[in-house]
Amino acid sequence: MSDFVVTINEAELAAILADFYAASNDQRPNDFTPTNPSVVNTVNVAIAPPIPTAGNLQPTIEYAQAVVASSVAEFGVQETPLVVTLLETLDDAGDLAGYLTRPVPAFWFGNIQVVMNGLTNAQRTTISSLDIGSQISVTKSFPNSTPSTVTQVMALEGISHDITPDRHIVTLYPNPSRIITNFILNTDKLDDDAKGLG
Amino acid sequence: MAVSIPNCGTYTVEMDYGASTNAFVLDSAVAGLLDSTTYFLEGTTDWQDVTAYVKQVSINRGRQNRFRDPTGQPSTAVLQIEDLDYRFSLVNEGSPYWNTAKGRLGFELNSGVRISRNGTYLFTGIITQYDQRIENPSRSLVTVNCSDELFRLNNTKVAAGSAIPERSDVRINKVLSSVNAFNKPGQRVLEEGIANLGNAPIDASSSVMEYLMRVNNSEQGRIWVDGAGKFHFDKRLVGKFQAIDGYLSDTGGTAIPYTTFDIVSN
Repeated sequence: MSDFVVTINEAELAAILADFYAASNDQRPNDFTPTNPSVVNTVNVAIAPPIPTAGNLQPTIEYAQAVVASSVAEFGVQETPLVVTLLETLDDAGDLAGYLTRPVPAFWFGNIQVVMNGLTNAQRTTISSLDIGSQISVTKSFPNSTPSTVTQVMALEGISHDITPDRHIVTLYPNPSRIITNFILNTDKLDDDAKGLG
Repeated sequence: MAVSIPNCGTYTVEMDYGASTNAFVLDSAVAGLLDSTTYFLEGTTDWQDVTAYVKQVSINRGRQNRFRDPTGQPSTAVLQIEDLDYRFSLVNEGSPYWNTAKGRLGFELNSGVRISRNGTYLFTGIITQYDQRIENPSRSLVTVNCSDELFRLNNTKVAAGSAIPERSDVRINKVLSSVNAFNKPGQRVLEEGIANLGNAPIDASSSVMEYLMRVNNSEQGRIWVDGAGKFHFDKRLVGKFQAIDGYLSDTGGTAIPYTTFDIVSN
Protein backbone atom coordinates (compact mmCIF):
# COMPACT_ATOMS: atom_id res chain seq x y z
CA MET A 1 0.00 0.00 0.00
CA SER A 2 1.51 3.30 -1.07
CA ASP A 3 1.63 6.38 1.11
CA PHE A 4 -0.57 9.34 0.45
CA VAL A 5 1.27 12.23 -1.10
CA VAL A 6 -0.10 15.65 -0.32
CA THR A 7 1.10 18.42 -2.56
CA ILE A 8 0.44 22.04 -1.70
CA ASN A 9 0.75 24.50 -4.50
CA GLU A 10 1.83 27.54 -2.54
CA ALA A 11 1.45 29.91 -5.46
CA GLU A 12 -2.10 28.76 -6.10
CA LEU A 13 -2.95 28.98 -2.41
CA ALA A 14 -1.49 32.45 -2.26
CA ALA A 15 -3.50 33.49 -5.28
CA ILE A 16 -6.73 32.19 -3.79
CA LEU A 17 -6.09 33.96 -0.52
CA ALA A 18 -5.13 37.17 -2.26
CA ASP A 19 -8.26 36.88 -4.32
CA PHE A 20 -10.27 36.49 -1.16
CA TYR A 21 -9.26 39.99 -0.21
CA ALA A 22 -9.02 41.59 -3.62
CA ALA A 23 -12.36 40.54 -5.00
CA SER A 24 -14.10 41.70 -8.13
CA ASN A 25 -16.41 44.63 -7.84
CA ASP A 26 -19.35 43.17 -9.68
CA GLN A 27 -19.64 39.94 -7.75
CA ARG A 28 -18.43 40.65 -4.26
CA PRO A 29 -19.16 43.20 -1.62
CA ASN A 30 -15.99 45.27 -1.64
CA ASP A 31 -16.73 47.39 -4.65
CA PHE A 32 -17.05 51.12 -4.34
CA THR A 33 -20.74 51.06 -3.43
CA PRO A 34 -21.70 54.23 -1.63
CA THR A 35 -24.43 53.74 0.93
CA ASN A 36 -25.74 57.17 0.06
CA PRO A 37 -25.69 57.85 -3.66
CA SER A 38 -25.64 61.63 -3.30
CA VAL A 39 -22.87 62.33 -0.83
CA VAL A 40 -19.78 60.31 0.01
CA ASN A 41 -17.41 62.12 2.33
CA THR A 42 -15.42 59.30 3.91
CA VAL A 43 -13.80 56.71 1.64
CA ASN A 44 -11.52 53.85 2.65
CA VAL A 45 -9.35 52.23 -0.02
CA ALA A 46 -7.18 49.21 0.76
CA ILE A 47 -4.12 48.17 -1.21
CA ALA A 48 -3.51 44.62 -2.38
CA PRO A 49 -2.60 42.52 0.65
CA PRO A 50 0.90 41.05 0.63
CA ILE A 51 1.21 37.49 -0.63
CA PRO A 52 0.49 35.11 2.25
CA THR A 53 3.46 33.15 3.48
CA ALA A 54 3.76 29.99 5.52
CA GLY A 55 4.20 32.08 8.63
CA ASN A 56 1.48 34.58 7.82
CA LEU A 57 -1.47 33.15 5.97
CA GLN A 58 -3.72 36.09 6.74
CA PRO A 59 -1.79 39.30 6.19
CA THR A 60 -3.09 42.56 7.56
CA ILE A 61 -5.02 44.74 5.17
CA GLU A 62 -3.62 48.26 4.92
CA TYR A 63 -5.81 51.08 3.72
CA ALA A 64 -5.91 54.81 3.19
CA GLN A 65 -8.80 57.05 4.15
CA ALA A 66 -10.01 60.29 2.61
CA VAL A 67 -12.32 62.50 4.63
CA VAL A 68 -13.92 65.77 3.49
CA ALA A 69 -14.42 67.54 6.80
CA SER A 70 -16.66 70.29 5.45
CA SER A 71 -19.04 67.70 4.02
CA VAL A 72 -19.03 65.68 7.22
CA ALA A 73 -19.98 68.83 9.10
CA GLU A 74 -22.85 69.45 6.71
CA PHE A 75 -24.21 65.95 6.04
CA GLY A 76 -22.73 63.79 8.79
CA VAL A 77 -20.43 60.87 8.06
CA GLN A 78 -21.32 59.23 4.74
CA GLU A 79 -18.82 56.40 4.57
CA THR A 80 -18.20 53.56 2.14
CA PRO A 81 -17.32 50.01 3.08
CA LEU A 82 -13.65 49.20 2.57
CA VAL A 83 -12.80 49.24 -1.13
CA VAL A 84 -10.20 46.48 -1.61
CA THR A 85 -8.10 47.08 -4.71
CA LEU A 86 -5.02 45.73 -6.46
CA LEU A 87 -3.13 48.99 -5.86
CA GLU A 88 0.49 48.77 -4.85
CA THR A 89 0.99 51.66 -2.41
CA LEU A 90 -0.96 53.53 0.21
CA ASP A 91 -0.20 56.76 -1.65
CA ASP A 92 -2.09 55.41 -4.66
CA ALA A 93 -4.90 54.26 -2.38
CA GLY A 94 -5.08 57.74 -0.86
CA ASP A 95 -5.32 59.30 -4.33
CA LEU A 96 -8.14 56.95 -5.29
CA ALA A 97 -9.96 57.54 -2.00
CA GLY A 98 -9.83 61.29 -2.61
CA TYR A 99 -11.11 60.79 -6.15
CA LEU A 100 -14.09 58.77 -4.92
CA THR A 101 -15.35 61.39 -2.49
CA ARG A 102 -18.42 63.40 -3.45
CA PRO A 103 -18.73 66.16 -0.84
CA VAL A 104 -21.99 67.67 -2.10
CA PRO A 105 -24.91 66.33 -4.14
CA ALA A 106 -24.47 66.74 -7.88
CA PHE A 107 -26.98 67.36 -10.62
CA TRP A 108 -26.61 67.29 -14.34
CA PHE A 109 -28.50 67.17 -17.60
CA GLY A 110 -29.03 63.52 -18.49
CA ASN A 111 -31.07 61.21 -20.73
CA ILE A 112 -31.01 63.72 -23.58
CA GLN A 113 -33.21 62.61 -26.45
CA VAL A 114 -32.46 63.69 -30.01
CA VAL A 115 -34.69 62.90 -33.00
CA MET A 116 -32.41 62.45 -35.99
CA ASN A 117 -35.21 63.24 -38.48
CA GLY A 118 -35.25 66.86 -37.32
CA LEU A 119 -31.54 67.55 -37.79
CA THR A 120 -29.41 68.85 -40.62
CA ASN A 121 -26.97 66.49 -42.33
CA ALA A 122 -24.06 68.00 -40.43
CA GLN A 123 -25.85 67.64 -37.11
CA ARG A 124 -26.75 64.02 -37.87
CA THR A 125 -23.12 63.27 -38.67
CA THR A 126 -22.06 64.82 -35.37
CA ILE A 127 -24.54 62.77 -33.37
CA SER A 128 -23.57 59.55 -35.18
CA SER A 129 -19.91 60.12 -34.41
CA LEU A 130 -20.44 60.64 -30.67
CA ASP A 131 -19.26 57.74 -28.57
CA ILE A 132 -18.63 56.90 -24.95
CA GLY A 133 -16.09 59.36 -23.61
CA SER A 134 -17.07 62.09 -26.08
CA GLN A 135 -17.56 65.48 -24.54
CA ILE A 136 -20.72 67.46 -25.18
CA SER A 137 -21.99 70.88 -24.19
CA VAL A 138 -25.70 71.11 -23.37
CA THR A 139 -27.53 74.42 -23.04
CA LYS A 140 -31.05 74.82 -21.72
CA SER A 141 -33.04 78.03 -21.36
CA PHE A 142 -35.62 78.23 -18.60
CA PRO A 143 -38.58 80.65 -18.65
CA ASN A 144 -38.88 80.93 -14.86
CA SER A 145 -35.44 80.35 -13.49
CA THR A 146 -32.31 82.25 -12.55
CA PRO A 147 -30.05 82.13 -14.38
CA SER A 148 -32.30 81.83 -17.39
CA THR A 149 -29.76 79.80 -19.36
CA VAL A 150 -27.65 76.96 -18.02
CA THR A 151 -24.83 75.27 -19.93
CA GLN A 152 -23.16 72.07 -18.80
CA VAL A 153 -20.13 70.38 -20.32
CA MET A 154 -20.25 66.65 -19.76
CA ALA A 155 -18.74 63.35 -20.85
CA LEU A 156 -20.88 60.65 -22.43
CA GLU A 157 -21.17 57.45 -20.43
CA GLY A 158 -23.79 55.79 -22.61
CA ILE A 159 -25.74 56.01 -25.86
CA SER A 160 -28.87 54.27 -27.07
CA HIS A 161 -30.47 54.14 -30.51
CA ASP A 162 -34.06 53.28 -31.39
CA ILE A 163 -34.42 52.85 -35.14
CA THR A 164 -37.63 52.09 -37.02
CA PRO A 165 -38.45 52.40 -40.75
CA ASP A 166 -39.47 56.05 -40.29
CA ARG A 167 -37.39 57.46 -37.45
CA HIS A 168 -34.17 57.26 -35.50
CA ILE A 169 -34.11 58.44 -31.91
CA VAL A 170 -30.81 58.79 -30.08
CA THR A 171 -30.61 59.08 -26.30
CA LEU A 172 -27.39 60.39 -24.79
CA TYR A 173 -26.39 59.65 -21.21
CA PRO A 174 -23.86 62.28 -20.20
CA ASN A 175 -22.33 62.53 -16.74
CA PRO A 176 -20.28 65.24 -15.04
CA SER A 177 -16.82 65.33 -16.53
CA ARG A 178 -13.46 66.34 -15.20
CA ILE A 179 -12.31 67.43 -18.59
CA ILE A 180 -10.46 70.63 -19.39
CA THR A 181 -11.64 72.76 -22.29
CA ASN A 182 -9.88 75.54 -24.14
CA PHE A 183 -9.45 78.82 -22.28
CA ILE A 184 -11.08 81.56 -24.33
CA LEU A 185 -9.58 85.04 -23.89
CA ASN A 186 -12.03 87.71 -22.73
CA THR A 187 -14.66 85.05 -22.08
CA ASP A 188 -13.32 82.66 -19.45
CA LYS A 189 -12.05 83.57 -16.03
CA LEU A 190 -8.59 82.92 -14.64
CA ASP A 191 -8.09 80.17 -12.05
CA ASP A 192 -10.87 78.06 -13.51
CA ASP A 193 -9.75 74.43 -13.08
CA ALA A 194 -11.88 73.35 -16.04
CA LYS A 195 -10.04 75.60 -18.51
CA GLY A 196 -6.62 75.14 -20.04
CA LEU A 197 -4.34 76.25 -22.85
CA GLY A 198 -4.39 73.53 -25.44
CA MET B 1 -29.87 46.00 -49.32
CA ALA B 2 -29.29 49.10 -47.23
CA VAL B 3 -32.43 51.02 -46.31
CA SER B 4 -32.86 54.79 -46.35
CA ILE B 5 -34.88 56.34 -43.55
CA PRO B 6 -36.35 59.70 -44.59
CA ASN B 7 -34.31 62.60 -43.20
CA CYS B 8 -32.10 60.26 -41.21
CA GLY B 9 -29.65 58.49 -43.49
CA THR B 10 -28.88 55.11 -45.00
CA TYR B 11 -28.85 52.18 -42.61
CA THR B 12 -27.38 48.72 -42.97
CA VAL B 13 -27.91 45.69 -40.77
CA GLU B 14 -25.60 42.79 -41.55
CA MET B 15 -25.40 39.31 -40.10
CA ASP B 16 -22.44 37.02 -40.61
CA TYR B 17 -23.24 33.75 -42.27
CA GLY B 18 -19.62 32.80 -42.87
CA ALA B 19 -17.85 32.14 -39.62
CA SER B 20 -20.39 29.63 -38.48
CA THR B 21 -20.02 27.61 -41.64
CA ASN B 22 -16.25 27.43 -42.08
CA ALA B 23 -14.66 28.08 -38.69
CA PHE B 24 -11.89 25.77 -37.48
CA VAL B 25 -13.13 23.57 -34.64
CA LEU B 26 -10.49 21.99 -32.43
CA ASP B 27 -10.60 18.16 -32.36
CA SER B 28 -13.31 18.04 -35.00
CA ALA B 29 -12.80 15.23 -37.51
CA VAL B 30 -14.03 17.47 -40.32
CA ALA B 31 -13.49 21.11 -39.29
CA GLY B 32 -10.43 20.55 -37.13
CA LEU B 33 -7.92 19.35 -39.74
CA LEU B 34 -4.69 21.31 -40.10
CA ASP B 35 -3.88 22.77 -43.51
CA SER B 36 -7.55 22.66 -44.42
CA THR B 37 -8.52 24.87 -47.31
CA THR B 38 -12.17 24.70 -46.30
CA TYR B 39 -12.07 25.61 -42.59
CA PHE B 40 -10.23 28.63 -41.20
CA LEU B 41 -9.24 29.88 -37.77
CA GLU B 42 -12.21 32.02 -36.59
CA GLY B 43 -13.80 31.33 -39.97
CA THR B 44 -14.14 33.85 -42.72
CA THR B 45 -16.87 36.40 -42.63
CA ASP B 46 -19.69 36.40 -45.13
CA TRP B 47 -21.82 39.39 -44.25
CA GLN B 48 -25.42 39.16 -45.40
CA ASP B 49 -27.28 42.46 -45.72
CA VAL B 50 -30.61 41.79 -43.99
CA THR B 51 -31.70 45.42 -43.58
CA ALA B 52 -34.78 45.08 -45.78
CA TYR B 53 -36.31 42.56 -43.36
CA VAL B 54 -35.60 44.43 -40.13
CA LYS B 55 -38.51 46.34 -38.62
CA GLN B 56 -36.89 47.72 -35.52
CA VAL B 57 -33.45 48.07 -34.03
CA SER B 58 -32.65 48.98 -30.42
CA ILE B 59 -29.08 49.55 -29.35
CA ASN B 60 -27.85 50.24 -25.82
CA ARG B 61 -24.23 51.00 -25.13
CA GLY B 62 -22.41 52.05 -21.98
CA ARG B 63 -24.19 53.11 -18.80
CA GLN B 64 -26.58 55.82 -17.75
CA ASN B 65 -25.04 56.92 -14.45
CA ARG B 66 -21.40 56.40 -13.60
CA PHE B 67 -22.08 56.87 -9.90
CA ARG B 68 -24.56 54.00 -9.79
CA ASP B 69 -23.95 51.69 -12.74
CA PRO B 70 -20.78 49.62 -13.17
CA THR B 71 -18.68 50.06 -16.26
CA GLY B 72 -17.82 47.07 -18.45
CA GLN B 73 -21.39 46.06 -19.19
CA PRO B 74 -21.63 44.58 -22.70
CA SER B 75 -23.49 46.69 -25.23
CA THR B 76 -26.66 45.11 -26.53
CA ALA B 77 -28.68 45.26 -29.71
CA VAL B 78 -32.11 43.79 -30.42
CA LEU B 79 -33.29 43.23 -34.00
CA GLN B 80 -36.97 42.66 -34.74
CA ILE B 81 -37.39 40.88 -38.08
CA GLU B 82 -40.60 40.47 -40.04
CA ASP B 83 -39.93 37.12 -41.70
CA LEU B 84 -42.46 37.09 -44.51
CA ASP B 85 -40.89 34.30 -46.56
CA TYR B 86 -39.46 32.29 -43.66
CA ARG B 87 -35.87 32.87 -44.74
CA PHE B 88 -34.95 33.47 -41.09
CA SER B 89 -36.88 30.44 -39.88
CA LEU B 90 -35.15 27.91 -37.68
CA VAL B 91 -36.95 25.08 -39.47
CA ASN B 92 -36.87 26.13 -43.14
CA GLU B 93 -34.30 23.98 -44.90
CA GLY B 94 -35.00 25.93 -48.08
CA SER B 95 -33.81 29.19 -46.57
CA PRO B 96 -30.94 30.87 -48.43
CA TYR B 97 -29.26 31.10 -45.01
CA TRP B 98 -29.58 27.40 -44.26
CA ASN B 99 -26.30 25.70 -43.37
CA THR B 100 -26.59 22.35 -45.07
CA ALA B 101 -23.40 21.01 -43.51
CA LYS B 102 -24.72 21.57 -40.00
CA GLY B 103 -28.36 21.00 -40.77
CA ARG B 104 -29.52 24.25 -39.20
CA LEU B 105 -29.85 27.96 -39.87
CA GLY B 106 -26.55 29.73 -40.55
CA PHE B 107 -27.35 32.57 -38.15
CA GLU B 108 -26.79 31.23 -34.67
CA LEU B 109 -25.07 31.83 -31.36
CA ASN B 110 -21.85 33.86 -31.83
CA SER B 111 -22.57 34.78 -35.46
CA GLY B 112 -21.44 38.35 -36.11
CA VAL B 113 -23.83 41.30 -36.36
CA ARG B 114 -23.08 44.88 -37.31
CA ILE B 115 -25.29 47.92 -37.72
CA SER B 116 -24.25 51.11 -39.46
CA ARG B 117 -25.55 54.48 -40.50
CA ASN B 118 -23.98 56.08 -43.59
CA GLY B 119 -21.00 53.78 -43.12
CA THR B 120 -20.42 54.62 -39.45
CA TYR B 121 -20.87 51.59 -37.21
CA LEU B 122 -23.33 52.05 -34.36
CA PHE B 123 -22.91 48.49 -33.09
CA THR B 124 -20.67 45.50 -33.76
CA GLY B 125 -21.20 42.27 -31.87
CA ILE B 126 -22.44 38.71 -31.90
CA ILE B 127 -25.76 36.91 -31.62
CA THR B 128 -26.52 35.78 -28.08
CA GLN B 129 -30.09 34.61 -28.56
CA TYR B 130 -32.28 33.89 -31.59
CA ASP B 131 -36.03 33.44 -31.16
CA GLN B 132 -38.75 32.82 -33.72
CA ARG B 133 -42.39 33.44 -32.92
CA ILE B 134 -45.25 32.25 -35.08
CA GLU B 135 -48.56 34.09 -34.99
CA ASN B 136 -51.26 31.98 -36.57
CA PRO B 137 -51.83 31.26 -39.29
CA SER B 138 -48.29 31.83 -40.52
CA ARG B 139 -46.81 35.18 -39.56
CA SER B 140 -43.21 34.73 -38.48
CA LEU B 141 -41.47 37.24 -36.24
CA VAL B 142 -37.82 36.78 -35.35
CA THR B 143 -36.09 38.48 -32.45
CA VAL B 144 -32.31 38.52 -32.51
CA ASN B 145 -30.55 39.53 -29.29
CA CYS B 146 -26.95 40.60 -29.69
CA SER B 147 -24.11 41.63 -27.46
CA ASP B 148 -20.68 43.07 -28.08
CA GLU B 149 -17.55 41.00 -27.54
CA LEU B 150 -17.32 41.91 -23.85
CA PHE B 151 -19.95 39.21 -23.49
CA ARG B 152 -17.37 36.56 -24.35
CA LEU B 153 -15.07 37.76 -21.57
CA ASN B 154 -17.73 36.79 -19.05
CA ASN B 155 -17.54 33.24 -20.39
CA THR B 156 -13.76 32.96 -20.48
CA LYS B 157 -11.70 31.99 -17.47
CA VAL B 158 -8.74 34.22 -16.69
CA ALA B 159 -5.31 32.59 -17.02
CA ALA B 160 -3.73 32.15 -13.59
CA GLY B 161 -0.24 33.46 -12.98
CA SER B 162 2.02 35.70 -11.05
CA ALA B 163 1.90 39.47 -11.42
CA ILE B 164 4.48 42.21 -11.23
CA PRO B 165 3.94 45.83 -10.22
CA GLU B 166 2.64 47.65 -13.29
CA ARG B 167 0.09 50.20 -14.49
CA SER B 168 -3.53 49.21 -14.90
CA ASP B 169 -3.47 49.48 -18.71
CA VAL B 170 -0.40 47.24 -18.93
CA ARG B 171 -2.11 44.59 -16.79
CA ILE B 172 -5.27 44.75 -18.89
CA ASN B 173 -3.26 44.38 -22.09
CA LYS B 174 -1.54 41.27 -20.70
CA VAL B 175 -4.78 39.70 -19.55
CA LEU B 176 -6.45 40.26 -22.92
CA SER B 177 -3.43 38.80 -24.70
CA SER B 178 -3.40 35.76 -22.43
CA VAL B 179 -6.84 34.76 -23.73
CA ASN B 180 -6.40 36.10 -27.30
CA ALA B 181 -9.23 38.57 -26.84
CA PHE B 182 -9.47 41.66 -29.07
CA ASN B 183 -6.30 40.42 -30.71
CA LYS B 184 -6.60 41.93 -34.17
CA PRO B 185 -4.33 44.89 -34.99
CA GLY B 186 -5.74 48.15 -33.64
CA GLN B 187 -8.54 46.43 -31.76
CA ARG B 188 -7.38 47.63 -28.31
CA VAL B 189 -7.45 51.31 -27.42
CA LEU B 190 -5.86 51.58 -23.98
CA GLU B 191 -5.26 54.87 -22.23
CA GLU B 192 -2.28 55.07 -19.91
CA GLY B 193 -3.76 54.29 -16.52
CA ILE B 194 -3.18 56.15 -13.29
CA ALA B 195 -3.41 53.15 -10.99
CA ASN B 196 -0.18 51.33 -10.15
CA LEU B 197 -1.02 47.73 -9.35
CA GLY B 198 0.86 45.48 -6.97
CA ASN B 199 1.96 41.89 -7.33
CA ALA B 200 -1.11 40.04 -6.04
CA PRO B 201 -1.17 36.87 -8.16
CA ILE B 202 -3.92 36.27 -10.69
CA ASP B 203 -5.97 33.25 -9.70
CA ALA B 204 -8.08 31.22 -12.06
CA SER B 205 -11.30 31.35 -10.11
CA SER B 206 -12.75 34.31 -11.97
CA SER B 207 -13.69 35.14 -15.51
CA VAL B 208 -11.62 37.54 -17.58
CA MET B 209 -14.30 40.19 -17.18
CA GLU B 210 -14.34 39.80 -13.42
CA TYR B 211 -10.59 40.28 -13.30
CA LEU B 212 -10.73 43.31 -15.59
CA MET B 213 -13.34 44.79 -13.29
CA ARG B 214 -11.03 44.12 -10.37
CA VAL B 215 -8.31 46.07 -12.15
CA ASN B 216 -10.75 48.82 -12.92
CA ASN B 217 -11.79 48.89 -9.27
CA SER B 218 -8.31 50.26 -8.70
CA GLU B 219 -8.53 52.69 -11.61
CA GLN B 220 -12.23 53.71 -11.57
CA GLY B 221 -12.08 54.42 -15.29
CA ARG B 222 -14.17 52.90 -18.08
CA ILE B 223 -14.13 49.61 -19.96
CA TRP B 224 -16.24 49.55 -23.12
CA VAL B 225 -16.43 48.48 -26.74
CA ASP B 226 -17.10 51.08 -29.41
CA GLY B 227 -19.52 50.87 -32.32
CA ALA B 228 -16.87 49.33 -34.57
CA GLY B 229 -16.02 46.62 -32.03
CA LYS B 230 -12.78 48.03 -30.57
CA PHE B 231 -12.01 47.48 -26.88
CA HIS B 232 -11.45 50.68 -24.91
CA PHE B 233 -9.95 51.25 -21.49
CA ASP B 234 -10.23 54.85 -20.25
CA LYS B 235 -8.30 56.04 -17.27
CA ARG B 236 -9.77 57.77 -14.23
CA LEU B 237 -11.26 61.17 -15.14
CA VAL B 238 -8.71 63.64 -13.88
CA GLY B 239 -8.11 66.92 -15.62
CA LYS B 240 -7.91 65.60 -19.14
CA PHE B 241 -7.75 68.16 -21.93
CA GLN B 242 -10.40 67.44 -24.52
CA ALA B 243 -12.27 69.44 -27.11
CA ILE B 244 -16.06 69.52 -27.18
CA ASP B 245 -17.39 67.00 -29.70
CA GLY B 246 -20.96 68.28 -29.92
CA TYR B 247 -23.04 71.27 -28.91
CA LEU B 248 -26.69 70.71 -28.00
CA SER B 249 -29.08 73.51 -27.20
CA ASP B 250 -32.72 74.54 -27.22
CA THR B 251 -31.82 78.09 -28.18
CA GLY B 252 -31.57 77.59 -31.95
CA GLY B 253 -28.63 78.40 -34.20
CA THR B 254 -26.31 75.66 -35.36
CA ALA B 255 -26.42 73.74 -32.08
CA ILE B 256 -28.17 70.38 -32.15
CA PRO B 257 -31.76 70.56 -30.87
CA TYR B 258 -33.08 67.97 -28.43
CA THR B 259 -36.61 67.01 -27.50
CA THR B 260 -36.43 65.97 -23.86
CA PHE B 261 -33.93 65.62 -21.08
CA ASP B 262 -33.87 64.94 -17.35
CA ILE B 263 -32.10 66.88 -14.67
CA VAL B 264 -30.46 64.01 -12.87
CA SER B 265 -29.88 64.57 -9.17
CA ASN B 266 -27.50 61.99 -7.87
